[in-house]
Amino acid sequence: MNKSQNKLVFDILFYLVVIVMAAAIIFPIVWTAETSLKSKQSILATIPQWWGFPIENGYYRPFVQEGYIRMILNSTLTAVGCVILTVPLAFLAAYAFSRYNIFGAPTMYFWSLTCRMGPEAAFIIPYYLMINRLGLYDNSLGLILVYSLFNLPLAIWLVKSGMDSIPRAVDEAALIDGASVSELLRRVILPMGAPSIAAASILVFIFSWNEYLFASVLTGLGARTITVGLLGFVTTVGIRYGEMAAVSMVALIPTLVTVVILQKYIISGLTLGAVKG
Amino acid sequence: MVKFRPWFLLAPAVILLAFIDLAPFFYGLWLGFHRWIMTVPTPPTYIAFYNYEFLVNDAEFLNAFVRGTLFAGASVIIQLVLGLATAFIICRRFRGATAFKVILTLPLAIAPVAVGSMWRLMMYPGIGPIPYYLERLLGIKWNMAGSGDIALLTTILMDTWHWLPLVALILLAGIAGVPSAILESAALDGVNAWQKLRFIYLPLIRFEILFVVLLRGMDAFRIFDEIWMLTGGGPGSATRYLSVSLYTMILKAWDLGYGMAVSLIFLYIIIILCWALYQAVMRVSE
Repeated sequence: MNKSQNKLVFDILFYLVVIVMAAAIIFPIVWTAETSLKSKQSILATIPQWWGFPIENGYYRPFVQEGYIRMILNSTLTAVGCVILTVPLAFLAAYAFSRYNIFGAPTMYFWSLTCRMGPEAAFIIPYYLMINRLGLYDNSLGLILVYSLFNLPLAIWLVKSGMDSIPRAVDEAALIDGASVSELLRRVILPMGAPSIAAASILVFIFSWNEYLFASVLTGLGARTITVGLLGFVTTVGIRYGEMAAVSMVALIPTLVTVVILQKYIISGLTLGAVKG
Repeated sequence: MVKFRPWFLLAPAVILLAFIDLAPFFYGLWLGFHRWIMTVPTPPTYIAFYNYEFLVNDAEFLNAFVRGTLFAGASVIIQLVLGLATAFIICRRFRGATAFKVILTLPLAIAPVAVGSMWRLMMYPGIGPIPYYLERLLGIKWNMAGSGDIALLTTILMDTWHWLPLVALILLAGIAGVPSAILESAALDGVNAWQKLRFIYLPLIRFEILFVVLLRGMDAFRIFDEIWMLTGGGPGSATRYLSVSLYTMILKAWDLGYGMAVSLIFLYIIIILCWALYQAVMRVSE
Protein backbone atom coordinates (compact mmCIF):
# COMPACT_ATOMS: atom_id res chain seq x y z
CA MET A 1 0.00 0.00 0.00
CA ASN A 2 2.63 2.47 1.09
CA LYS A 3 4.80 1.61 -1.85
CA SER A 4 2.03 2.10 -4.39
CA GLN A 5 1.15 5.41 -2.78
CA ASN A 6 4.74 6.51 -3.18
CA LYS A 7 4.58 5.48 -6.79
CA LEU A 8 1.42 7.50 -7.30
CA VAL A 9 2.96 10.62 -5.75
CA PHE A 10 6.04 10.16 -7.90
CA ASP A 11 3.94 9.77 -11.04
CA ILE A 12 1.93 12.89 -10.28
CA LEU A 13 5.10 14.90 -9.69
CA PHE A 14 6.63 13.48 -12.83
CA TYR A 15 3.69 14.48 -15.01
CA LEU A 16 3.60 17.88 -13.35
CA VAL A 17 7.23 18.47 -14.36
CA VAL A 18 6.55 17.28 -17.91
CA ILE A 19 3.51 19.51 -18.27
CA VAL A 20 5.29 22.56 -16.86
CA MET A 21 8.20 22.02 -19.24
CA ALA A 22 5.95 21.56 -22.26
CA ALA A 23 4.03 24.69 -21.30
CA ALA A 24 7.24 26.68 -20.86
CA ILE A 25 8.37 25.65 -24.34
CA ILE A 26 5.07 26.45 -26.02
CA PHE A 27 4.21 29.62 -24.12
CA PRO A 28 6.45 32.11 -25.99
CA ILE A 29 5.12 30.85 -29.33
CA VAL A 30 1.49 31.13 -28.21
CA TRP A 31 2.05 34.54 -26.68
CA THR A 32 3.62 35.80 -29.90
CA ALA A 33 0.73 34.43 -31.95
CA GLU A 34 -1.69 36.14 -29.57
CA THR A 35 0.19 39.44 -29.66
CA SER A 36 0.06 39.46 -33.45
CA LEU A 37 -3.73 39.72 -33.19
CA LYS A 38 -3.95 42.29 -30.42
CA SER A 39 -4.61 45.99 -30.74
CA LYS A 40 -1.93 48.40 -29.62
CA GLN A 41 -3.91 49.30 -26.49
CA SER A 42 -4.23 45.69 -25.35
CA ILE A 43 -0.53 45.02 -25.97
CA LEU A 44 0.48 47.99 -23.85
CA ALA A 45 -2.19 47.39 -21.18
CA THR A 46 -0.74 47.30 -17.66
CA ILE A 47 -2.46 44.02 -16.83
CA PRO A 48 -1.65 41.38 -19.46
CA GLN A 49 -4.73 40.55 -21.51
CA TRP A 50 -5.25 36.88 -22.21
CA TRP A 51 -8.50 36.73 -24.13
CA GLY A 52 -11.33 38.91 -25.33
CA PHE A 53 -8.85 41.63 -26.28
CA PRO A 54 -9.80 43.89 -29.19
CA ILE A 55 -8.60 41.97 -32.20
CA GLU A 56 -6.53 43.71 -34.82
CA ASN A 57 -4.78 42.19 -37.79
CA GLY A 58 -1.05 42.70 -37.24
CA TYR A 59 -0.34 40.93 -40.51
CA TYR A 60 -2.13 43.41 -42.71
CA ARG A 61 0.18 46.41 -42.65
CA PRO A 62 3.57 44.67 -43.03
CA PHE A 63 2.50 42.10 -45.58
CA VAL A 64 -0.06 43.98 -47.65
CA GLN A 65 0.97 47.62 -47.40
CA GLU A 66 4.70 47.38 -46.75
CA GLY A 67 7.30 45.29 -48.53
CA TYR A 68 7.40 42.32 -46.22
CA ILE A 69 5.98 39.92 -48.76
CA ARG A 70 9.00 40.67 -50.91
CA MET A 71 11.30 39.78 -48.01
CA ILE A 72 9.58 36.41 -47.73
CA LEU A 73 10.27 35.86 -51.43
CA ASN A 74 13.89 36.97 -50.96
CA SER A 75 14.36 34.60 -48.04
CA THR A 76 12.89 31.75 -50.05
CA LEU A 77 15.01 32.56 -53.08
CA THR A 78 18.18 32.76 -51.00
CA ALA A 79 17.50 29.55 -49.11
CA VAL A 80 16.54 27.58 -52.22
CA GLY A 81 19.53 28.98 -54.08
CA CYS A 82 21.75 27.89 -51.25
CA VAL A 83 20.42 24.34 -51.45
CA ILE A 84 21.00 24.29 -55.21
CA LEU A 85 24.56 25.55 -54.83
CA THR A 86 25.74 23.52 -51.86
CA VAL A 87 24.04 20.14 -52.00
CA PRO A 88 25.44 18.97 -55.39
CA LEU A 89 28.95 20.08 -54.41
CA ALA A 90 28.53 18.36 -51.07
CA PHE A 91 27.36 15.19 -52.82
CA LEU A 92 30.56 14.95 -54.88
CA ALA A 93 32.84 15.87 -52.00
CA ALA A 94 31.08 13.50 -49.62
CA TYR A 95 31.58 10.62 -52.04
CA ALA A 96 35.28 11.38 -52.24
CA PHE A 97 35.58 11.59 -48.44
CA SER A 98 33.56 8.45 -47.96
CA ARG A 99 35.29 6.18 -50.48
CA TYR A 100 38.88 7.31 -50.85
CA ASN A 101 41.75 7.70 -48.45
CA ILE A 102 42.49 11.31 -49.16
CA PHE A 103 45.75 12.84 -48.09
CA GLY A 104 45.02 15.51 -45.51
CA ALA A 105 41.41 14.48 -44.98
CA PRO A 106 41.51 15.05 -41.18
CA THR A 107 42.93 18.53 -41.75
CA MET A 108 40.18 19.28 -44.21
CA TYR A 109 37.61 17.99 -41.78
CA PHE A 110 38.93 20.25 -39.09
CA TRP A 111 38.98 23.13 -41.51
CA SER A 112 35.34 22.58 -42.44
CA LEU A 113 34.45 22.38 -38.75
CA THR A 114 35.98 25.82 -38.18
CA CYS A 115 34.03 27.12 -41.18
CA ARG A 116 30.85 25.81 -39.60
CA MET A 117 31.63 27.13 -36.13
CA GLY A 118 33.48 30.32 -36.94
CA PRO A 119 32.05 33.50 -35.45
CA GLU A 120 30.05 35.12 -38.23
CA ALA A 121 30.71 38.56 -36.85
CA ALA A 122 34.43 38.11 -37.54
CA PHE A 123 33.72 37.73 -41.27
CA ILE A 124 31.69 40.89 -41.68
CA ILE A 125 34.49 43.18 -42.82
CA PRO A 126 36.14 40.99 -45.48
CA TYR A 127 32.75 39.86 -46.81
CA TYR A 128 31.46 43.38 -46.97
CA LEU A 129 34.50 44.43 -49.00
CA MET A 130 34.56 41.30 -51.16
CA ILE A 131 30.86 41.35 -52.00
CA ASN A 132 31.04 45.03 -52.89
CA ARG A 133 34.07 44.43 -55.08
CA LEU A 134 32.23 41.64 -56.90
CA GLY A 135 29.24 43.92 -57.43
CA LEU A 136 27.01 41.56 -55.48
CA TYR A 137 25.92 43.95 -52.74
CA ASP A 138 22.15 43.75 -52.18
CA ASN A 139 21.98 40.69 -54.40
CA SER A 140 20.64 37.31 -53.28
CA LEU A 141 23.47 35.65 -55.18
CA GLY A 142 26.00 37.28 -52.86
CA LEU A 143 24.16 35.95 -49.82
CA ILE A 144 23.93 32.48 -51.32
CA LEU A 145 27.67 32.47 -51.88
CA VAL A 146 28.41 33.68 -48.36
CA TYR A 147 26.00 31.25 -46.72
CA SER A 148 27.81 28.30 -48.21
CA LEU A 149 30.55 29.13 -45.66
CA PHE A 150 28.58 27.31 -42.99
CA ASN A 151 26.18 25.30 -45.16
CA LEU A 152 28.67 23.47 -47.34
CA PRO A 153 30.60 21.84 -44.45
CA LEU A 154 27.32 20.86 -42.82
CA ALA A 155 26.00 19.33 -46.04
CA ILE A 156 29.26 17.45 -46.71
CA TRP A 157 29.18 16.05 -43.21
CA LEU A 158 25.57 14.88 -43.38
CA VAL A 159 25.76 13.39 -46.87
CA LYS A 160 29.01 11.63 -46.02
CA SER A 161 27.53 9.95 -42.96
CA GLY A 162 24.68 8.73 -45.17
CA MET A 163 27.10 7.38 -47.78
CA ASP A 164 29.24 5.62 -45.20
CA SER A 165 26.29 3.34 -44.55
CA ILE A 166 26.12 2.26 -48.22
CA PRO A 167 28.34 -0.85 -48.51
CA ARG A 168 31.38 -0.49 -50.73
CA ALA A 169 30.43 -3.78 -52.37
CA VAL A 170 27.62 -1.91 -54.11
CA ASP A 171 30.13 0.40 -55.80
CA GLU A 172 32.36 -2.46 -56.77
CA ALA A 173 29.50 -4.48 -58.25
CA ALA A 174 28.38 -1.49 -60.34
CA LEU A 175 31.91 -0.82 -61.58
CA ILE A 176 32.46 -4.48 -62.47
CA ASP A 177 29.22 -4.40 -64.43
CA GLY A 178 30.82 -1.70 -66.54
CA ALA A 179 29.31 1.44 -65.06
CA SER A 180 31.41 4.59 -65.26
CA VAL A 181 31.96 6.62 -62.11
CA SER A 182 29.42 9.21 -63.19
CA GLU A 183 26.87 6.49 -63.87
CA LEU A 184 27.65 4.92 -60.51
CA LEU A 185 27.06 8.24 -58.79
CA ARG A 186 23.86 9.03 -60.67
CA ARG A 187 22.20 5.63 -60.81
CA VAL A 188 23.36 3.98 -57.59
CA ILE A 189 24.74 6.33 -54.97
CA LEU A 190 22.26 9.15 -55.57
CA PRO A 191 19.11 7.06 -55.02
CA MET A 192 20.64 5.09 -52.15
CA GLY A 193 21.89 8.20 -50.40
CA ALA A 194 18.64 10.09 -51.01
CA PRO A 195 17.52 10.27 -47.35
CA SER A 196 20.71 11.94 -46.19
CA ILE A 197 20.71 14.25 -49.22
CA ALA A 198 17.13 15.25 -48.43
CA ALA A 199 18.02 15.85 -44.79
CA ALA A 200 21.00 17.97 -45.82
CA SER A 201 18.82 20.01 -48.22
CA ILE A 202 16.22 20.70 -45.55
CA LEU A 203 18.80 21.76 -42.99
CA VAL A 204 20.62 23.99 -45.45
CA PHE A 205 17.25 25.59 -46.21
CA ILE A 206 16.49 26.11 -42.50
CA PHE A 207 19.88 27.59 -41.65
CA SER A 208 19.81 29.93 -44.66
CA TRP A 209 16.27 31.02 -43.90
CA ASN A 210 17.19 31.76 -40.27
CA GLU A 211 20.41 33.67 -40.91
CA TYR A 212 20.48 37.32 -39.90
CA LEU A 213 23.95 38.79 -39.48
CA PHE A 214 25.35 38.54 -43.03
CA ALA A 215 22.00 39.46 -44.53
CA SER A 216 21.92 42.63 -42.46
CA VAL A 217 25.34 43.75 -43.66
CA LEU A 218 25.22 42.55 -47.26
CA THR A 219 21.74 43.60 -48.38
CA GLY A 220 19.92 46.86 -48.83
CA LEU A 221 16.26 47.18 -49.70
CA GLY A 222 16.32 44.93 -52.75
CA ALA A 223 17.47 41.56 -51.43
CA ARG A 224 16.54 42.07 -47.75
CA THR A 225 15.45 38.87 -46.05
CA ILE A 226 12.67 38.41 -43.54
CA THR A 227 15.03 38.15 -40.54
CA VAL A 228 16.49 41.56 -41.34
CA GLY A 229 12.99 42.92 -41.84
CA LEU A 230 12.03 41.63 -38.41
CA LEU A 231 14.82 43.57 -36.78
CA GLY A 232 13.64 46.67 -38.59
CA PHE A 233 10.88 46.92 -35.99
CA VAL A 234 13.30 47.34 -33.11
CA THR A 235 15.33 50.21 -34.48
CA THR A 236 12.36 52.39 -35.30
CA VAL A 237 11.04 54.79 -32.70
CA GLY A 238 8.09 53.34 -30.82
CA ILE A 239 8.17 49.65 -31.66
CA ARG A 240 5.10 48.31 -33.45
CA TYR A 241 4.84 45.23 -31.28
CA GLY A 242 1.76 43.71 -32.87
CA GLU A 243 3.32 43.78 -36.31
CA MET A 244 6.66 42.60 -34.96
CA ALA A 245 4.86 39.57 -33.54
CA ALA A 246 3.09 38.99 -36.84
CA VAL A 247 6.34 39.07 -38.81
CA SER A 248 7.98 36.79 -36.22
CA MET A 249 5.22 34.25 -36.70
CA VAL A 250 5.59 34.32 -40.48
CA ALA A 251 9.38 34.03 -40.16
CA LEU A 252 9.27 31.05 -37.82
CA ILE A 253 6.37 29.03 -39.21
CA PRO A 254 8.06 27.48 -42.31
CA THR A 255 10.96 26.05 -40.32
CA LEU A 256 8.79 25.05 -37.37
CA VAL A 257 6.39 23.08 -39.56
CA THR A 258 9.28 21.42 -41.38
CA VAL A 259 10.82 20.22 -38.13
CA VAL A 260 7.55 18.88 -36.78
CA ILE A 261 6.74 16.95 -39.96
CA LEU A 262 10.20 15.72 -40.83
CA GLN A 263 11.76 15.49 -37.42
CA LYS A 264 12.68 11.85 -37.80
CA TYR A 265 14.97 12.74 -40.68
CA ILE A 266 16.56 15.93 -39.51
CA ILE A 267 17.16 15.49 -35.80
CA SER A 268 20.48 13.88 -36.62
CA GLY A 269 21.50 16.91 -38.64
CA LEU A 270 20.26 19.44 -36.12
CA THR A 271 22.40 17.79 -33.46
CA LEU A 272 25.39 17.67 -35.83
CA GLY A 273 25.28 13.92 -36.10
CA ALA A 274 25.40 13.23 -32.37
CA VAL A 275 21.93 11.72 -32.47
CA LYS A 276 21.26 9.01 -35.01
CA GLY A 277 17.88 9.70 -36.59
CA MET B 1 43.82 8.41 -63.56
CA VAL B 2 42.05 6.62 -60.74
CA LYS B 3 44.33 8.32 -58.23
CA PHE B 4 43.20 11.75 -59.38
CA ARG B 5 39.50 11.04 -59.14
CA PRO B 6 38.92 11.95 -55.48
CA TRP B 7 40.52 15.35 -56.03
CA PHE B 8 38.40 15.86 -59.08
CA LEU B 9 35.28 15.20 -57.02
CA LEU B 10 36.48 17.35 -54.13
CA ALA B 11 37.66 20.26 -56.23
CA PRO B 12 34.38 22.21 -56.59
CA ALA B 13 33.66 22.15 -52.86
CA VAL B 14 37.26 22.94 -51.89
CA ILE B 15 37.50 25.81 -54.37
CA LEU B 16 34.25 27.33 -53.14
CA LEU B 17 35.28 27.00 -49.47
CA ALA B 18 38.70 28.45 -50.22
CA PHE B 19 37.06 31.37 -51.95
CA ILE B 20 34.65 32.16 -49.14
CA ASP B 21 36.82 31.14 -46.21
CA LEU B 22 40.53 31.36 -46.94
CA ALA B 23 40.44 34.42 -49.20
CA PRO B 24 38.65 36.60 -46.62
CA PHE B 25 40.88 35.19 -43.91
CA PHE B 26 44.13 36.19 -45.60
CA TYR B 27 42.67 39.49 -46.68
CA GLY B 28 41.67 40.08 -43.07
CA LEU B 29 45.11 39.09 -41.87
CA TRP B 30 46.60 41.73 -44.15
CA LEU B 31 44.04 44.31 -43.12
CA GLY B 32 44.75 43.70 -39.43
CA PHE B 33 48.20 45.26 -39.88
CA HIS B 34 46.79 48.40 -41.46
CA ARG B 35 44.90 51.48 -40.48
CA TRP B 36 41.87 51.92 -42.68
CA ILE B 37 38.89 53.94 -41.58
CA MET B 38 36.19 53.74 -44.21
CA THR B 39 34.79 57.18 -43.55
CA VAL B 40 38.20 58.77 -44.08
CA PRO B 41 39.37 58.77 -47.71
CA THR B 42 42.96 57.68 -47.02
CA PRO B 43 44.08 54.33 -48.40
CA PRO B 44 45.12 51.61 -45.92
CA THR B 45 48.43 52.47 -44.24
CA TYR B 46 50.74 49.88 -42.76
CA ILE B 47 50.99 50.23 -38.97
CA ALA B 48 52.48 46.81 -38.03
CA PHE B 49 51.12 45.54 -34.71
CA TYR B 50 49.54 48.79 -33.56
CA ASN B 51 45.97 47.42 -33.82
CA TYR B 52 46.89 44.45 -31.67
CA GLU B 53 48.68 46.59 -29.10
CA PHE B 54 45.61 48.76 -28.89
CA LEU B 55 43.40 45.70 -28.50
CA VAL B 56 45.26 44.41 -25.44
CA ASN B 57 44.40 47.62 -23.61
CA ASP B 58 40.92 48.08 -25.03
CA ALA B 59 38.58 47.97 -22.03
CA GLU B 60 35.53 47.52 -24.26
CA PHE B 61 36.96 44.43 -25.91
CA LEU B 62 38.16 42.92 -22.61
CA ASN B 63 34.78 43.58 -20.99
CA ALA B 64 32.98 41.99 -23.90
CA PHE B 65 35.24 38.98 -23.55
CA VAL B 66 34.57 38.64 -19.81
CA ARG B 67 30.82 39.16 -20.23
CA GLY B 68 30.68 36.72 -23.12
CA THR B 69 32.57 34.09 -21.13
CA LEU B 70 30.28 34.58 -18.15
CA PHE B 71 27.22 34.23 -20.37
CA ALA B 72 28.55 31.17 -22.20
CA GLY B 73 29.75 29.48 -18.99
CA ALA B 74 26.51 30.01 -17.11
CA SER B 75 24.40 28.95 -20.10
CA VAL B 76 26.34 25.77 -20.65
CA ILE B 77 26.28 24.70 -17.00
CA ILE B 78 22.55 25.35 -16.63
CA GLN B 79 21.76 23.62 -19.90
CA LEU B 80 23.90 20.63 -19.06
CA VAL B 81 22.19 20.04 -15.69
CA LEU B 82 18.66 20.66 -16.97
CA GLY B 83 19.42 18.79 -20.19
CA LEU B 84 20.49 15.72 -18.26
CA ALA B 85 17.29 15.84 -16.22
CA THR B 86 15.21 16.28 -19.38
CA ALA B 87 17.00 13.40 -21.08
CA PHE B 88 16.13 11.11 -18.15
CA ILE B 89 12.53 12.29 -18.38
CA ILE B 90 12.23 11.38 -22.07
CA CYS B 91 14.02 8.13 -21.37
CA ARG B 92 11.09 6.88 -19.26
CA ARG B 93 8.56 5.66 -21.75
CA PHE B 94 5.56 7.47 -20.29
CA ARG B 95 2.20 8.24 -21.86
CA GLY B 96 2.62 11.17 -24.22
CA ALA B 97 6.39 10.77 -24.47
CA THR B 98 6.29 11.08 -28.26
CA ALA B 99 4.24 14.27 -28.12
CA PHE B 100 6.60 15.67 -25.51
CA LYS B 101 9.57 14.94 -27.74
CA VAL B 102 7.94 16.78 -30.65
CA ILE B 103 7.24 19.77 -28.41
CA LEU B 104 10.80 19.65 -27.21
CA THR B 105 12.20 20.03 -30.72
CA LEU B 106 10.11 23.11 -31.56
CA PRO B 107 12.60 25.77 -30.42
CA LEU B 108 15.41 24.20 -32.44
CA ALA B 109 13.94 25.28 -35.77
CA ILE B 110 12.99 28.83 -34.90
CA ALA B 111 15.09 31.60 -36.40
CA PRO B 112 17.30 33.09 -33.66
CA VAL B 113 16.04 36.57 -34.51
CA ALA B 114 12.47 35.39 -34.00
CA VAL B 115 13.49 33.85 -30.66
CA GLY B 116 14.81 37.23 -29.61
CA SER B 117 11.63 38.91 -30.75
CA MET B 118 9.40 36.43 -28.89
CA TRP B 119 11.35 36.88 -25.69
CA ARG B 120 11.19 40.61 -26.03
CA LEU B 121 7.41 40.44 -26.31
CA MET B 122 7.34 38.21 -23.24
CA MET B 123 9.96 39.80 -21.02
CA TYR B 124 10.06 43.49 -21.80
CA PRO B 125 8.80 45.59 -18.90
CA GLY B 126 5.46 47.19 -19.73
CA ILE B 127 4.62 44.67 -22.45
CA GLY B 128 5.50 41.18 -21.33
CA PRO B 129 3.37 39.16 -18.96
CA ILE B 130 6.34 37.62 -17.12
CA PRO B 131 7.65 40.79 -15.42
CA TYR B 132 4.07 41.71 -14.50
CA TYR B 133 3.32 38.40 -12.79
CA LEU B 134 6.74 38.16 -11.17
CA GLU B 135 6.17 41.51 -9.50
CA ARG B 136 2.52 40.89 -8.74
CA LEU B 137 2.82 37.39 -7.31
CA LEU B 138 6.39 37.15 -6.04
CA GLY B 139 7.36 40.78 -5.62
CA ILE B 140 10.38 40.40 -7.89
CA LYS B 141 11.22 43.40 -10.04
CA TRP B 142 12.26 41.95 -13.40
CA ASN B 143 13.33 45.00 -15.35
CA MET B 144 15.58 43.85 -18.15
CA ALA B 145 15.65 47.32 -19.66
CA GLY B 146 16.95 48.89 -16.46
CA SER B 147 19.21 46.36 -14.80
CA GLY B 148 22.25 44.83 -16.45
CA ASP B 149 22.16 41.74 -14.23
CA ILE B 150 18.53 41.06 -15.05
CA ALA B 151 19.30 41.51 -18.74
CA LEU B 152 22.16 39.01 -18.46
CA LEU B 153 19.87 36.54 -16.69
CA THR B 154 17.20 37.03 -19.34
CA THR B 155 19.65 36.26 -22.13
CA ILE B 156 20.75 33.10 -20.31
CA LEU B 157 17.12 32.04 -19.88
CA MET B 158 16.43 32.70 -23.55
CA ASP B 159 19.47 30.72 -24.65
CA THR B 160 18.40 27.87 -22.39
CA TRP B 161 14.89 27.90 -23.83
CA HIS B 162 16.33 27.81 -27.34
CA TRP B 163 19.00 25.14 -26.89
CA LEU B 164 18.00 22.95 -23.95
CA PRO B 165 16.20 20.58 -26.37
CA LEU B 166 19.39 20.11 -28.35
CA VAL B 167 21.38 19.31 -25.20
CA ALA B 168 18.68 16.94 -23.98
CA LEU B 169 18.49 15.08 -27.31
CA ILE B 170 22.26 14.63 -27.54
CA LEU B 171 22.48 13.38 -23.95
CA LEU B 172 19.47 11.15 -24.56
CA ALA B 173 21.36 9.46 -27.39
CA GLY B 174 24.10 8.64 -24.89
CA ILE B 175 21.75 7.44 -22.18
CA ALA B 176 19.84 5.23 -24.60
CA GLY B 177 23.15 3.62 -25.53
CA VAL B 178 23.98 2.47 -21.99
CA PRO B 179 23.69 -1.36 -22.06
CA SER B 180 20.71 -2.59 -20.08
CA ALA B 181 22.78 -5.49 -18.69
CA ILE B 182 24.87 -3.02 -16.67
CA LEU B 183 21.76 -1.35 -15.27
CA GLU B 184 20.19 -4.70 -14.37
CA SER B 185 23.23 -5.95 -12.51
CA ALA B 186 23.48 -2.60 -10.73
CA ALA B 187 19.85 -2.97 -9.66
CA LEU B 188 20.64 -6.44 -8.26
CA ASP B 189 23.52 -4.97 -6.27
CA GLY B 190 21.13 -2.44 -4.75
CA VAL B 191 22.77 0.64 -6.21
CA ASN B 192 20.87 3.85 -5.41
CA ALA B 193 19.89 6.50 -7.91
CA TRP B 194 22.76 8.87 -7.15
CA GLN B 195 25.37 6.10 -7.42
CA LYS B 196 23.79 4.97 -10.67
CA LEU B 197 24.14 8.48 -12.09
CA ARG B 198 27.64 9.05 -10.75
CA PHE B 199 29.24 5.68 -11.48
CA ILE B 200 27.29 4.31 -14.44
CA TYR B 201 25.67 7.03 -16.52
CA LEU B 202 28.17 9.86 -16.27
CA PRO B 203 31.24 7.78 -17.21
CA LEU B 204 29.39 6.07 -20.05
CA ILE B 205 28.00 9.23 -21.62
CA ARG B 206 31.16 11.30 -21.23
CA PHE B 207 31.50 11.57 -25.01
CA GLU B 208 28.06 13.15 -25.34
CA ILE B 209 28.72 15.46 -22.39
CA LEU B 210 32.01 16.61 -23.85
CA PHE B 211 30.49 17.11 -27.28
CA VAL B 212 27.58 19.11 -25.99
CA VAL B 213 29.68 21.28 -23.68
CA LEU B 214 32.09 22.25 -26.45
CA LEU B 215 29.38 22.67 -29.09
CA ARG B 216 27.16 24.80 -26.89
CA GLY B 217 30.13 26.65 -25.43
CA MET B 218 31.26 27.75 -28.87
CA ASP B 219 27.77 28.67 -30.01
CA ALA B 220 27.07 30.64 -26.83
CA PHE B 221 30.40 32.40 -27.10
CA ARG B 222 29.71 33.68 -30.60
CA ILE B 223 25.97 34.35 -30.08
CA PHE B 224 24.61 37.37 -31.89
CA ASP B 225 21.13 37.36 -33.47
CA GLU B 226 19.02 36.62 -30.39
CA ILE B 227 20.90 39.05 -28.18
CA TRP B 228 20.82 41.82 -30.75
CA MET B 229 17.07 41.45 -31.09
CA LEU B 230 16.35 41.06 -27.37
CA THR B 231 18.56 43.69 -25.78
CA GLY B 232 20.61 45.28 -28.55
CA GLY B 233 23.56 44.80 -26.19
CA GLY B 234 22.05 46.91 -23.46
CA PRO B 235 21.22 48.20 -20.98
CA GLY B 236 24.47 50.13 -21.25
CA SER B 237 26.87 47.45 -22.37
CA ALA B 238 25.66 44.72 -20.01
CA THR B 239 24.83 42.17 -22.69
CA ARG B 240 27.33 43.30 -25.31
CA TYR B 241 28.99 39.92 -25.76
CA LEU B 242 31.85 39.49 -28.18
CA SER B 243 29.89 39.33 -31.45
CA VAL B 244 27.57 42.15 -30.47
CA SER B 245 30.49 44.28 -29.35
CA LEU B 246 32.33 43.64 -32.61
CA TYR B 247 29.26 44.41 -34.70
CA THR B 248 28.52 47.67 -32.89
CA MET B 249 32.14 48.69 -33.12
CA ILE B 250 32.38 48.04 -36.87
CA LEU B 251 29.12 49.78 -37.70
CA LYS B 252 29.85 52.71 -35.43
CA ALA B 253 33.45 53.54 -36.29
CA TRP B 254 34.03 51.78 -39.62
CA ASP B 255 37.60 51.31 -38.40
CA LEU B 256 38.17 48.26 -40.57
CA GLY B 257 41.79 47.62 -39.63
CA TYR B 258 41.09 47.52 -35.91
CA GLY B 259 37.79 45.71 -36.40
CA MET B 260 39.68 43.05 -38.31
CA ALA B 261 42.27 42.67 -35.55
CA VAL B 262 39.47 42.04 -33.05
CA SER B 263 37.76 39.68 -35.51
CA LEU B 264 40.90 37.63 -35.91
CA ILE B 265 41.51 37.26 -32.17
CA PHE B 266 37.88 36.20 -31.83
CA LEU B 267 38.33 33.72 -34.66
CA TYR B 268 41.48 32.28 -33.07
CA ILE B 269 39.66 31.73 -29.77
CA ILE B 270 36.95 29.82 -31.59
CA ILE B 271 39.49 27.83 -33.61
CA ILE B 272 41.23 26.76 -30.38
CA LEU B 273 37.89 25.67 -28.93
CA CYS B 274 37.12 23.86 -32.19
CA TRP B 275 40.43 22.11 -32.04
CA ALA B 276 39.70 20.99 -28.48
CA LEU B 277 36.32 19.67 -29.61
CA TYR B 278 37.84 17.82 -32.53
CA GLN B 279 40.66 16.27 -30.47
CA ALA B 280 38.35 15.29 -27.65
CA VAL B 281 35.78 13.74 -29.93
CA MET B 282 38.46 11.87 -31.89
CA ARG B 283 40.09 10.52 -28.72
CA VAL B 284 36.86 9.40 -27.08
CA SER B 285 35.48 7.79 -30.23
CA GLU B 286 38.64 5.75 -30.79
